[in-house]
Amino acid sequence: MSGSVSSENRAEPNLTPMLDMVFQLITFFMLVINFKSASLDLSLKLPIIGSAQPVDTQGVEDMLVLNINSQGQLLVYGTVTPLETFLAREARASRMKLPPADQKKPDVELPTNVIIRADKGVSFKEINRVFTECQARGFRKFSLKAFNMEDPNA
Amino acid sequence: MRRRRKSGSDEVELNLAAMLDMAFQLLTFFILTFRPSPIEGQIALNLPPPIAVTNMQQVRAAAAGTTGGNASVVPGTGTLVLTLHAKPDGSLKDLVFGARPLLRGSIDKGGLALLNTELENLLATPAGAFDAVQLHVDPALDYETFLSVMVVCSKQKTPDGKPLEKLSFVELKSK
Repeated sequence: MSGSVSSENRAEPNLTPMLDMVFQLITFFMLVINFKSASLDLSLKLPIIGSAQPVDTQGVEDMLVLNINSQGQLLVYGTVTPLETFLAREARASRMKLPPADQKKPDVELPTNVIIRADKGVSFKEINRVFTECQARGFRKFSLKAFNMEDPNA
Repeated sequence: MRRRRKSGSDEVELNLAAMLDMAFQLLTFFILTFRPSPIEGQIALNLPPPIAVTNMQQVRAAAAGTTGGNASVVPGTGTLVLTLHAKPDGSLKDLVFGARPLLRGSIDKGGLALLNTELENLLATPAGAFDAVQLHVDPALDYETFLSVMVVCSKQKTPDGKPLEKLSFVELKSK
């Protein structure tokens, strides 16, 4: 069976519409990609609270996300990290954002909103330890993360 | 200005196949790495350092329902204490409202609604004796139950219609 095609009869599909469509799809995916989710540990099973409000920064743009697993350990990008060391470092960084006059005050409120993403099975003892450590370092504003409904990806 | 006319023989045809290959590779990457994160809500709390509980005698009496019409109660100066005990598996054993047991067993929507009603009755009345709520929580209690109760408490309003701001929690000593 002869498979040769003469140059006169060669069929060249117009690829431009396909390329347009593919670029539109790439643009869509680039826009919806969420790099913030890298700091969120999606393996955690957050509590389900129907009345949880949508995320509101309350004017505080600086956020510190703490992922706490069911054993009460802090996870930073999936790695178990000592809570005290991590909070001390973050508190120092947050303190630097205060006006120079306030930086040396010991009881000053830090301008960082602590977002706690804790597994629903973690005991109160462990979560209270997180709160106490945060408060001892000057963090006052907290947001407790929860799902509004069952996680469809779970 | 004179425009140069393109002759058919000089037309340059770009080879789009290579660009299309690359575009498909990019598209494949984005499709494979795309994972829509579930919508998360949040409960906002402002937690200053712990303060001492006030008027414990009055708190216990009022929560037990024995202060009715007592003129010595100063409105808005007491702290209502809710005590949450846990079973060994972390679920709720009972919830004590002041000195009165309110809920037993695991907490559900009905239990939370009951707690909400009790808190509304006590906090939002103009002659109410409480302006603060403190949770005394068993260290073994699971986070979800604790958060459910916190949400109900944080939704309460004071008699002047402002949200209840004095909300705190402490850990009960282990047995």
